[in-house]
Amino acid sequence: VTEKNVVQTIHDTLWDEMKADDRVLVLGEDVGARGGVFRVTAGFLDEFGEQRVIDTPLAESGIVGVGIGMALHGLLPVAEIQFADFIHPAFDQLVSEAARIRYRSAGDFACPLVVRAPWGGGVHGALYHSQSIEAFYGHVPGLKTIVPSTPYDVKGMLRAAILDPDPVLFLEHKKTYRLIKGDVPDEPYEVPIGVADVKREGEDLTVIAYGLMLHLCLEAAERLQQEEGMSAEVVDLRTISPLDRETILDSVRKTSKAMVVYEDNRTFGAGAEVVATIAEELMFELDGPLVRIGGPDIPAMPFSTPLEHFYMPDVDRIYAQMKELAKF
Amino acid sequence: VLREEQGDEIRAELKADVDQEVDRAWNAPDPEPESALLHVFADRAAAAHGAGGNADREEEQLENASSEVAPTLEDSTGDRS
Repeated sequence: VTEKNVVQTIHDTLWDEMKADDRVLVLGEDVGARGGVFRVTAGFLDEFGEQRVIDTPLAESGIVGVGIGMALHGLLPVAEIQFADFIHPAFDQLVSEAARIRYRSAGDFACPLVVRAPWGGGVHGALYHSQSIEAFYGHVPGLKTIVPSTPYDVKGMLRAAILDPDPVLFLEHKKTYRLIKGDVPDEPYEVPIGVADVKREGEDLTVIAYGLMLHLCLEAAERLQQEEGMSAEVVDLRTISPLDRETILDSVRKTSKAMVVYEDNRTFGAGAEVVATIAEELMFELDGPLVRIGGPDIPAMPFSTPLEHFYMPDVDRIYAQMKELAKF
Repeated sequence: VLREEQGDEIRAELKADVDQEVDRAWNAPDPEPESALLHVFADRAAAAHGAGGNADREEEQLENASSEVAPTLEDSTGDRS
């Protein structure tokens, strides 16, 4: 076991997978000579060569489209979108092609493609380096959208994504890259896609989150315990789609109260689906209103520091809502 | 150089092939409606993604939907084996 941060874990896991299977390769903007803007592929070009570490033009549609072609022909490509904010030109390739290949061919063809993309705010990245994109892609059957948020889960889910026979969008919250550290087993292992995880057990309410918000919720839950003697169960979604309804519902059945926290625009965000699922299945078992915390419905993350702080849910706000719901 | 009669022969062969497949398609039984839920993902349980309701019911629907079998890992081109 080695303590690592998130970005080092991604580097090491990709490295190990490329060492283990020569069908695995990476492609994207600046992944080669520069080693990626976040240094995820630092040293890869020297080790694996330009046939497996491919610097591409600034053309996201082409990156994903070429990745789809590679996947269809037996390779296991891991495409990097430099920032999730830039993935939109590839929307058509992901939605119209990658996600539908198995379905349109009645199972004759598969597209084992992984697309990695750093997402999320709180890094002073403003309009084009802060976006949350999970809801766009979580809406698409045939595509798996995952959001591991701890080093342990990142390693296990990246391996699972590469091994998966279907296309996977692997979202990495960029603020967690160097902020979040944890123990990572040195040997290979998988964390299953489509399975949420109870990161903290509790009795008084359930809090569902992912990405950076998971860590803020864990901090708020600890504060609730210390200051109020009340316990929050914190569920890490880990996978946006396919959604693990059972883990969510099992937790809410236990606590009878639920809130969901996400930083994407609140309306039509992933949290809306979580809340709808709870309302459909457990309406008459709830002892309080369903609470949804999300970012405001504005077109983009502002650059100005106070405006960015206004946008991002923080521990104080999450704590206040947790406390109110726990005491309801 | 392709002679005209050779071209006609090739066209006739192709037309026969196409006509045969079209006839086969028209005469095939309609698929069970629930088979629309198959082939979303490689594994059957996940194939019910997005259909709503509880997972057990969806699984049961899939079991009853069709004799068509979801592809295994080995069946699918490009899968890692």
